Amino acid sequence: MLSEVVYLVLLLGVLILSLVAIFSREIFKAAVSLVFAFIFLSGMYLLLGAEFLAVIQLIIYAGAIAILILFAIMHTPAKIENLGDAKIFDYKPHYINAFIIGIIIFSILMFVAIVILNELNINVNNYKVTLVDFANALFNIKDFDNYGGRFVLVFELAGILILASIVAAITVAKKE
Amino acid sequence: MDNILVITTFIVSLIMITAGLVGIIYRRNLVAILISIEVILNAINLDFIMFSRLKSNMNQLIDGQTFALFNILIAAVEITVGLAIIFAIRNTMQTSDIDKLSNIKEITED
Repeated sequence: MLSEVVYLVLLLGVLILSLVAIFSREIFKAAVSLVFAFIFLSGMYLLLGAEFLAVIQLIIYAGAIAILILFAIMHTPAKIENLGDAKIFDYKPHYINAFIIGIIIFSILMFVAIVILNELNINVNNYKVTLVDFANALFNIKDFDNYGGRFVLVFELAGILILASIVAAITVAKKE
Repeated sequence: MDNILVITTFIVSLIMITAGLVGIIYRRNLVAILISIEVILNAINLDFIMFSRLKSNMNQLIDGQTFALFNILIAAVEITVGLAIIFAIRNTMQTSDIDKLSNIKEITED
């Protein structure tokens, strides 16, 4: 019972923090609330039985990506404006487009969700996925008949993708 | 209780996906658009992990979490290249506002 309550509180926190991160006018506040949304999500993964992913979420998202975003914010030129003087909602033509597109997308997604949830029989199993299971699925090619090592090709391609992204990032961002 | 948790999580992730897509259109700052994309990817990760728990087959359960693992990796790659592009735009145009970048052709012509 307690874990369900904690789960719902974390879920509410993730929702509110994500909305603040997307729609806040102050970009620094947006980045910080994004970090806290990542940390809350990591707690939710723990309660969902994905402990390895919870740790990975903390290391990569709340550690690396958050620092990268904050670094980018501090190095991009900010318009120094007094937000106290600005109107909270100054109308621009693209706002109505965003609103209409949001309504359309959300109604489509809700329709699909209702169709899916009607046919779903929900019985949650409480198995915890350990690091050994991940290693078995990623590397254990000898046990291929029992679905061991079935992600080894994706894993190798992911390594190439990371190398390519590092080279691309350095090439694009360096000054002449 | 499990029904309520699963349905609530699904609805919240749908709200997060919609808000991220709206944020991509609504926000004018390049970094804010990247933040919106991150929120979308996190909502999809949450769905992967939550729905993989409904599978009784052990391999399918690991499949969902491995997809989430690769999704985190794709997000890291995407944010790296995206921020490098933002730095390149900063170096050449001295701005990170989408509205000022939309007349990019006029800037490069003269």
